[in-house]
Amino acid sequence: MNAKKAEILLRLARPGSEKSGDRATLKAVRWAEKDERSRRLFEEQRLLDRRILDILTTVTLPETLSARVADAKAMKRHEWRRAIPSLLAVLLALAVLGGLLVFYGMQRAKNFVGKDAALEMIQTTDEMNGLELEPVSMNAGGVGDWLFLNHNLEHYDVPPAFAGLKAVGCRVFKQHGLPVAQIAIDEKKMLFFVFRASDFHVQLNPPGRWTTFEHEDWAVAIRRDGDSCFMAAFRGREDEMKKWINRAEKKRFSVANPGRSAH
Amino acid sequence: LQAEDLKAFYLFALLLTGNGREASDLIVETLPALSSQLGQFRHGHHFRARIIRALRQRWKEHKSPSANEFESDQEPERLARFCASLPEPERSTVALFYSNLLDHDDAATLLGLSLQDYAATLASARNKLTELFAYERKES
Repeated sequence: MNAKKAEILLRLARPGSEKSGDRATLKAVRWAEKDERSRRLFEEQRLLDRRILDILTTVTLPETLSARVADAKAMKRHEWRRAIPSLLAVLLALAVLGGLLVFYGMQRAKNFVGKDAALEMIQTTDEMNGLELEPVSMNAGGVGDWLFLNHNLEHYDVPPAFAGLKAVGCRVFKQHGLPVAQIAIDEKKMLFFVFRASDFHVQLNPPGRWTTFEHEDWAVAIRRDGDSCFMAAFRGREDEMKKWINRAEKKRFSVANPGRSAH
Repeated sequence: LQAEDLKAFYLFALLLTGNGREASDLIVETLPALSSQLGQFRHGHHFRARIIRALRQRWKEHKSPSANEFESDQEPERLARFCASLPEPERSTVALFYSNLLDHDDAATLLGLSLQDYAATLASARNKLTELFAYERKES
Protein backbone atom coordinates (compact mmCIF):
# COMPACT_ATOMS: atom_id res chain seq x y z
CA MET A 1 0.00 0.00 0.00
CA ASN A 2 1.40 3.39 -0.91
CA ALA A 3 1.45 6.36 1.44
CA LYS A 4 -1.14 8.36 -0.51
CA LYS A 5 -3.72 5.59 -0.48
CA ALA A 6 -3.03 4.84 3.17
CA GLU A 7 -3.51 8.49 4.07
CA ILE A 8 -6.89 8.64 2.29
CA LEU A 9 -8.07 5.43 3.97
CA LEU A 10 -6.95 6.62 7.40
CA ARG A 11 -8.71 9.95 7.03
CA LEU A 12 -11.93 8.19 5.99
CA ALA A 13 -11.72 5.52 8.71
CA ARG A 14 -14.70 5.49 11.02
CA PRO A 15 -13.95 4.41 14.61
CA GLY A 16 -13.99 0.61 14.75
CA SER A 17 -13.99 0.12 10.97
CA GLU A 18 -10.75 -1.91 11.05
CA LYS A 19 -12.27 -4.19 13.68
CA SER A 20 -15.39 -4.74 11.61
CA GLY A 21 -13.39 -6.55 8.96
CA ASP A 22 -12.51 -3.65 6.65
CA ARG A 23 -9.21 -5.12 5.40
CA ALA A 24 -8.10 -2.05 3.46
CA THR A 25 -8.49 0.15 6.52
CA LEU A 26 -6.73 -2.49 8.66
CA LYS A 27 -3.77 -2.45 6.27
CA ALA A 28 -3.68 1.35 6.37
CA VAL A 29 -3.72 1.30 10.18
CA ARG A 30 -0.80 -1.16 10.19
CA TRP A 31 1.02 1.12 7.79
CA ALA A 32 0.42 4.09 10.09
CA GLU A 33 1.74 2.20 13.10
CA LYS A 34 5.14 1.99 11.45
CA ASP A 35 5.42 5.77 11.21
CA GLU A 36 5.41 7.80 14.42
CA ARG A 37 3.84 10.95 12.96
CA SER A 38 1.11 9.07 11.10
CA ARG A 39 0.36 6.96 14.16
CA ARG A 40 0.01 10.08 16.34
CA LEU A 41 -2.23 11.88 13.81
CA PHE A 42 -4.45 8.84 13.46
CA GLU A 43 -4.70 8.52 17.24
CA GLU A 44 -5.77 12.18 17.53
CA GLN A 45 -8.28 11.68 14.75
CA ARG A 46 -9.78 8.70 16.56
CA LEU A 47 -10.06 10.58 19.82
CA LEU A 48 -11.92 13.39 18.10
CA ASP A 49 -14.19 11.02 16.16
CA ARG A 50 -15.03 9.04 19.30
CA ARG A 51 -15.77 12.21 21.19
CA ILE A 52 -18.06 13.50 18.44
CA LEU A 53 -19.83 10.18 18.02
CA ASP A 54 -20.30 9.90 21.79
CA ILE A 55 -21.91 13.32 21.81
CA LEU A 56 -24.12 12.46 18.84
CA THR A 57 -25.23 9.25 20.55
CA THR A 58 -26.83 11.38 23.25
CA VAL A 59 -28.91 13.28 20.70
CA THR A 60 -32.52 12.24 20.82
CA LEU A 61 -35.01 12.89 18.08
CA PRO A 62 -37.31 15.75 19.16
CA GLU A 63 -40.52 14.15 20.40
CA THR A 64 -42.75 16.14 18.07
CA LEU A 65 -40.63 15.74 14.93
CA SER A 66 -42.21 12.54 13.60
CA ALA A 67 -45.69 13.95 14.19
CA ARG A 68 -44.77 17.25 12.53
CA VAL A 69 -43.43 15.42 9.46
CA ALA A 70 -46.61 13.32 9.29
CA ASP A 71 -48.79 16.45 9.66
CA ALA A 72 -46.83 18.26 6.97
CA LYS A 73 -47.28 15.27 4.62
CA ALA A 74 -51.03 15.25 5.28
CA MET A 75 -51.18 19.00 4.72
CA LYS A 76 -49.40 18.59 1.36
CA ARG A 77 -52.07 16.09 0.33
CA HIS A 78 -54.84 18.45 1.47
CA GLU A 79 -53.22 21.34 -0.36
CA TRP A 80 -53.38 19.26 -3.52
CA ARG A 81 -57.01 18.37 -2.88
CA ARG A 82 -57.84 21.99 -2.16
CA ALA A 83 -56.18 22.97 -5.42
CA ILE A 84 -58.36 20.56 -7.47
CA PRO A 85 -61.46 22.85 -7.69
CA SER A 86 -59.26 25.78 -8.71
CA LEU A 87 -57.55 23.65 -11.35
CA LEU A 88 -60.91 22.45 -12.64
CA ALA A 89 -62.14 26.06 -12.82
CA VAL A 90 -59.04 27.05 -14.79
CA LEU A 91 -59.46 24.08 -17.16
CA LEU A 92 -63.15 24.90 -17.63
CA ALA A 93 -62.33 28.55 -18.34
CA LEU A 94 -59.69 27.46 -20.88
CA ALA A 95 -62.19 25.10 -22.53
CA VAL A 96 -64.81 27.88 -22.77
CA LEU A 97 -62.21 30.29 -24.13
CA GLY A 98 -61.07 27.68 -26.68
CA GLY A 99 -64.69 27.10 -27.72
CA LEU A 100 -65.29 30.84 -28.14
CA LEU A 101 -62.14 31.18 -30.24
CA VAL A 102 -63.22 28.29 -32.47
CA PHE A 103 -66.74 29.75 -32.77
CA TYR A 104 -65.34 33.20 -33.54
CA GLY A 105 -62.96 31.70 -36.12
CA MET A 106 -65.83 29.82 -37.79
CA GLN A 107 -68.06 32.90 -37.84
CA ARG A 108 -65.21 34.93 -39.28
CA ALA A 109 -64.67 32.37 -42.01
CA LYS A 110 -68.37 32.44 -42.94
CA ASN A 111 -68.54 36.25 -42.99
CA PHE A 112 -66.10 37.21 -45.70
CA VAL A 113 -65.68 40.49 -47.54
CA GLY A 114 -67.95 40.56 -50.58
CA LYS A 115 -70.54 38.16 -49.14
CA ASP A 116 -73.38 40.62 -49.87
CA ALA A 117 -72.54 40.55 -53.59
CA ALA A 118 -72.56 36.72 -53.55
CA LEU A 119 -75.94 36.68 -51.80
CA GLU A 120 -77.33 39.13 -54.32
CA MET A 121 -76.38 36.69 -57.11
CA ILE A 122 -78.29 33.89 -55.39
CA GLN A 123 -81.31 36.13 -54.82
CA THR A 124 -81.61 36.77 -58.58
CA THR A 125 -82.93 33.20 -58.83
CA ASP A 126 -86.11 34.28 -57.01
CA GLU A 127 -87.10 36.35 -60.02
CA MET A 128 -86.22 33.69 -62.63
CA ASN A 129 -88.77 31.62 -64.50
CA GLY A 130 -86.26 29.30 -66.24
CA LEU A 131 -86.56 30.92 -69.65
CA GLU A 132 -83.60 33.17 -68.99
CA LEU A 133 -81.23 30.18 -69.22
CA GLU A 134 -80.00 29.17 -72.62
CA PRO A 135 -80.38 25.40 -72.91
CA VAL A 136 -77.08 23.57 -73.34
CA SER A 137 -76.10 19.94 -73.27
CA MET A 138 -72.50 19.57 -72.29
CA ASN A 139 -70.25 18.87 -69.36
CA ALA A 140 -69.73 21.76 -66.96
CA GLY A 141 -66.03 21.69 -67.92
CA GLY A 142 -66.98 22.78 -71.44
CA VAL A 143 -68.92 25.84 -70.26
CA GLY A 144 -65.70 27.88 -69.98
CA ASP A 145 -65.23 27.62 -73.76
CA TRP A 146 -68.92 28.30 -74.37
CA LEU A 147 -68.71 31.49 -72.27
CA PHE A 148 -65.62 32.61 -74.14
CA LEU A 149 -67.11 31.93 -77.56
CA ASN A 150 -70.58 33.35 -76.88
CA HIS A 151 -69.94 36.11 -74.37
CA ASN A 152 -66.22 36.83 -74.75
CA LEU A 153 -65.62 35.96 -71.09
CA GLU A 154 -62.12 34.63 -70.56
CA HIS A 155 -61.12 32.38 -67.65
CA TYR A 156 -64.69 31.85 -66.43
CA ASP A 157 -64.00 28.17 -65.78
CA VAL A 158 -65.68 25.57 -63.58
CA PRO A 159 -63.21 23.90 -61.13
CA PRO A 160 -61.96 20.48 -62.34
CA ALA A 161 -63.79 18.66 -59.51
CA PHE A 162 -67.14 19.64 -61.10
CA ALA A 163 -66.10 19.60 -64.74
CA GLY A 164 -67.75 16.19 -65.30
CA LEU A 165 -71.23 17.27 -64.16
CA LYS A 166 -73.93 17.73 -66.77
CA ALA A 167 -74.79 21.37 -67.51
CA VAL A 168 -78.35 21.96 -68.75
CA GLY A 169 -78.49 25.73 -69.04
CA CYS A 170 -76.25 28.81 -69.07
CA ARG A 171 -76.59 32.54 -69.00
CA VAL A 172 -74.58 35.65 -68.32
CA PHE A 173 -76.23 38.45 -66.39
CA LYS A 174 -74.97 41.79 -65.22
CA GLN A 175 -74.89 42.68 -61.57
CA HIS A 176 -74.12 46.37 -61.10
CA GLY A 177 -72.88 46.30 -64.68
CA LEU A 178 -70.41 43.47 -64.11
CA PRO A 179 -70.69 40.01 -65.67
CA VAL A 180 -71.69 36.91 -63.75
CA ALA A 181 -71.92 33.53 -65.44
CA GLN A 182 -74.69 31.28 -64.16
CA ILE A 183 -74.80 27.57 -64.99
CA ALA A 184 -77.67 25.21 -64.19
CA ILE A 185 -76.53 21.69 -63.33
CA ASP A 186 -78.70 18.64 -63.70
CA GLU A 187 -77.62 17.08 -60.40
CA LYS A 188 -79.47 18.37 -57.34
CA LYS A 189 -80.89 21.22 -59.46
CA MET A 190 -77.72 23.02 -58.60
CA LEU A 191 -76.57 26.44 -59.75
CA PHE A 192 -72.98 27.47 -60.39
CA PHE A 193 -71.88 31.10 -60.47
CA VAL A 194 -68.56 32.14 -61.93
CA PHE A 195 -67.30 35.73 -61.69
CA ARG A 196 -64.22 37.82 -61.12
CA ALA A 197 -63.43 38.28 -57.43
CA SER A 198 -62.02 41.75 -58.05
CA ASP A 199 -65.29 42.89 -59.72
CA PHE A 200 -67.21 42.29 -56.48
CA HIS A 201 -64.37 42.79 -53.98
CA VAL A 202 -64.66 39.23 -52.74
CA GLN A 203 -61.90 38.25 -50.31
CA LEU A 204 -61.69 34.71 -49.00
CA ASN A 205 -59.08 33.44 -46.59
CA PRO A 206 -57.28 31.29 -47.30
CA PRO A 207 -57.60 31.38 -51.09
CA GLY A 208 -58.13 28.01 -52.79
CA ARG A 209 -60.22 26.61 -49.94
CA TRP A 210 -63.95 26.26 -49.67
CA THR A 211 -66.09 28.51 -47.50
CA THR A 212 -69.57 27.14 -46.88
CA PHE A 213 -72.62 28.78 -45.37
CA GLU A 214 -76.42 28.73 -45.40
CA HIS A 215 -78.61 31.52 -46.66
CA GLU A 216 -82.39 31.18 -46.30
CA ASP A 217 -82.98 27.69 -47.76
CA TRP A 218 -79.82 27.68 -49.87
CA ALA A 219 -76.65 25.80 -49.07
CA VAL A 220 -73.73 27.68 -50.58
CA ALA A 221 -70.04 26.91 -51.18
CA ILE A 222 -67.61 29.46 -52.54
CA ARG A 223 -63.91 29.49 -53.32
CA ARG A 224 -61.47 31.82 -54.96
CA ASP A 225 -58.54 30.80 -57.15
CA GLY A 226 -56.55 33.83 -58.22
CA ASP A 227 -59.08 36.35 -59.49
CA SER A 228 -61.60 33.68 -60.42
CA CYS A 229 -64.44 33.09 -58.00
CA PHE A 230 -66.66 30.02 -58.17
CA MET A 231 -69.86 29.59 -56.19
CA ALA A 232 -72.12 26.52 -56.02
CA ALA A 233 -75.62 26.61 -54.49
CA PHE A 234 -78.49 24.23 -54.04
CA ARG A 235 -81.52 24.12 -51.82
CA GLY A 236 -80.47 22.22 -48.71
CA ARG A 237 -78.29 22.41 -45.62
CA GLU A 238 -74.67 23.44 -45.19
CA ASP A 239 -73.56 19.96 -44.02
CA GLU A 240 -75.08 18.45 -47.20
CA MET A 241 -73.04 20.90 -49.25
CA LYS A 242 -69.86 19.98 -47.35
CA LYS A 243 -70.48 16.28 -47.95
CA TRP A 244 -71.22 16.86 -51.60
CA ILE A 245 -68.01 18.85 -52.12
CA ASN A 246 -65.92 16.23 -50.29
CA ARG A 247 -67.41 13.50 -52.42
CA ALA A 248 -66.85 15.45 -55.66
CA GLU A 249 -63.21 16.21 -54.78
CA LYS A 250 -62.50 12.62 -53.70
CA LYS A 251 -64.02 11.37 -56.93
CA ARG A 252 -61.83 13.71 -58.90
CA PHE A 253 -58.73 12.62 -56.88
CA SER A 254 -59.40 8.94 -57.46
CA VAL A 255 -59.82 9.58 -61.20
CA ALA A 256 -56.58 11.59 -61.30
CA ASN A 257 -54.64 9.12 -59.05
CA PRO A 258 -56.05 5.64 -59.52
CA GLY A 259 -55.02 3.21 -56.73
CA ARG A 260 -54.33 5.91 -54.12
CA SER A 261 -56.63 7.08 -51.35
CA ALA A 262 -57.46 10.71 -50.91
CA HIS A 263 -56.55 12.55 -47.68
CA LEU B 1 -39.05 6.70 6.62
CA GLN B 2 -37.92 4.52 9.51
CA ALA B 3 -37.27 6.22 12.84
CA GLU B 4 -33.51 5.50 12.58
CA ASP B 5 -33.39 7.11 9.13
CA LEU B 6 -35.26 10.12 10.46
CA LYS B 7 -32.74 10.38 13.29
CA ALA B 8 -29.80 10.20 10.85
CA PHE B 9 -31.32 12.99 8.76
CA TYR B 10 -31.95 14.99 11.92
CA LEU B 11 -28.28 14.59 12.93
CA PHE B 12 -27.20 15.71 9.47
CA ALA B 13 -29.53 18.74 9.67
CA LEU B 14 -28.35 19.49 13.21
CA LEU B 15 -24.68 19.58 12.17
CA LEU B 16 -25.59 21.60 9.07
CA THR B 17 -27.68 24.24 10.85
CA GLY B 18 -26.03 24.23 14.28
CA ASN B 19 -29.40 24.50 15.96
CA GLY B 20 -31.95 21.85 17.00
CA ARG B 21 -34.98 23.99 16.25
CA GLU B 22 -33.69 24.96 12.81
CA ALA B 23 -32.81 21.31 12.13
CA SER B 24 -36.37 20.21 12.97
CA ASP B 25 -37.88 22.97 10.82
CA LEU B 26 -35.60 22.07 7.92
CA ILE B 27 -36.64 18.42 8.12
CA VAL B 28 -40.35 19.28 8.34
CA GLU B 29 -40.15 21.68 5.40
CA THR B 30 -38.12 19.36 3.17
CA LEU B 31 -39.10 15.72 3.75
CA PRO B 32 -42.88 15.81 3.09
CA ALA B 33 -42.37 17.32 -0.36
CA LEU B 34 -40.07 14.42 -1.28
CA SER B 35 -42.09 11.58 0.22
CA SER B 36 -44.03 11.06 -3.03
CA GLN B 37 -40.73 10.43 -4.86
CA LEU B 38 -39.73 7.55 -2.59
CA GLY B 39 -41.05 4.94 -5.03
CA GLN B 40 -38.96 6.34 -7.88
CA PHE B 41 -35.68 5.22 -6.28
CA ARG B 42 -34.66 1.61 -6.55
CA HIS B 43 -31.81 1.98 -4.08
CA GLY B 44 -32.15 3.46 -0.61
CA HIS B 45 -28.88 5.36 -0.81
CA HIS B 46 -30.08 7.18 -3.94
CA PHE B 47 -33.13 8.39 -2.08
CA ARG B 48 -30.98 9.39 0.90
CA ALA B 49 -28.70 11.35 -1.44
CA ARG B 50 -31.79 13.07 -2.94
CA ILE B 51 -32.97 14.11 0.52
CA ILE B 52 -29.52 15.34 1.55
CA ARG B 53 -29.26 17.40 -1.63
CA ALA B 54 -32.69 18.90 -0.93
CA LEU B 55 -31.81 19.64 2.71
CA ARG B 56 -28.60 21.42 1.69
CA GLN B 57 -30.35 23.35 -1.08
CA ARG B 58 -33.18 24.47 1.18
CA TRP B 59 -30.78 25.49 3.91
CA LYS B 60 -28.72 27.47 1.43
CA GLU B 61 -31.82 29.31 0.16
CA HIS B 62 -33.79 29.77 3.37
CA LYS B 63 -31.11 29.97 6.01
CA SER B 64 -32.58 31.75 9.02
CA PRO B 65 -30.61 34.79 10.23
CA SER B 66 -30.95 33.52 13.79
CA ALA B 67 -29.72 30.03 12.92
CA ASN B 68 -26.42 30.28 14.76
CA GLU B 69 -27.78 32.13 17.74
CA PHE B 70 -27.11 30.56 21.08
CA GLU B 71 -30.00 28.32 21.98
CA SER B 72 -28.84 25.76 24.47
CA ASP B 73 -25.65 24.94 26.28
CA GLN B 74 -26.06 21.22 25.88
CA GLU B 75 -23.04 19.43 24.44
CA PRO B 76 -24.79 18.27 21.21
CA GLU B 77 -25.84 21.83 20.39
CA ARG B 78 -22.33 23.14 21.10
CA LEU B 79 -20.89 20.50 18.76
CA ALA B 80 -23.54 21.40 16.14
CA ARG B 81 -22.60 25.09 16.40
CA PHE B 82 -18.93 24.21 15.89
CA CYS B 83 -19.75 22.17 12.79
CA ALA B 84 -22.12 24.81 11.42
CA SER B 85 -19.43 27.45 11.81
CA LEU B 86 -17.16 25.59 9.36
CA PRO B 87 -17.08 26.83 5.77
CA GLU B 88 -18.47 24.70 2.95
CA PRO B 89 -17.68 22.04 1.85
CA GLU B 90 -16.14 21.22 5.25
CA ARG B 91 -19.49 21.69 7.00
CA SER B 92 -21.36 19.29 4.74
CA THR B 93 -18.45 16.83 4.73
CA VAL B 94 -18.47 16.65 8.52
CA ALA B 95 -22.27 16.40 8.63
CA LEU B 96 -22.23 13.55 6.11
CA PHE B 97 -19.36 11.71 7.76
CA TYR B 98 -20.76 11.73 11.29
CA SER B 99 -24.40 11.17 10.34
CA ASN B 100 -23.20 8.10 8.40
CA LEU B 101 -26.00 8.44 5.83
CA LEU B 102 -23.91 7.64 2.75
CA ASP B 103 -20.75 5.73 1.99
CA HIS B 104 -17.68 7.84 1.22
CA ASP B 105 -17.89 7.47 -2.55
CA ASP B 106 -21.51 8.64 -2.66
CA ALA B 107 -20.81 11.46 -0.20
CA ALA B 108 -17.85 12.70 -2.27
CA THR B 109 -19.93 12.54 -5.46
CA LEU B 110 -22.78 14.45 -3.83
CA LEU B 111 -20.39 17.22 -2.81
CA GLY B 112 -18.70 17.24 -6.21
CA LEU B 113 -15.34 16.16 -4.77
CA SER B 114 -12.91 13.41 -5.60
CA LEU B 115 -12.44 10.83 -2.84
CA GLN B 116 -8.98 12.24 -2.16
CA ASP B 117 -10.34 15.80 -1.84
CA TYR B 118 -13.20 14.54 0.32
CA ALA B 119 -10.67 12.91 2.66
CA ALA B 120 -8.51 16.06 2.69
CA THR B 121 -11.59 18.25 3.39
CA LEU B 122 -12.53 15.96 6.26
CA ALA B 123 -8.99 16.16 7.70
CA SER B 124 -9.03 19.95 7.49
CA ALA B 125 -12.46 20.10 9.18
CA ARG B 126 -11.23 17.81 11.96
CA ASN B 127 -8.29 20.12 12.61
CA LYS B 128 -10.63 23.09 12.95
CA LEU B 129 -12.98 21.17 15.25
CA THR B 130 -10.03 20.13 17.40
CA GLU B 131 -9.03 23.78 17.70
CA LEU B 132 -12.59 24.78 18.61
CA PHE B 133 -12.81 22.10 21.31
CA ALA B 134 -9.39 23.19 22.65
CA TYR B 135 -10.48 26.84 22.70
CA GLU B 136 -13.66 25.90 24.52
CA ARG B 137 -11.73 23.92 27.13
CA LYS B 138 -9.36 26.82 27.66
CA GLU B 139 -12.25 29.30 28.04
CA SER B 140 -14.08 27.14 30.53
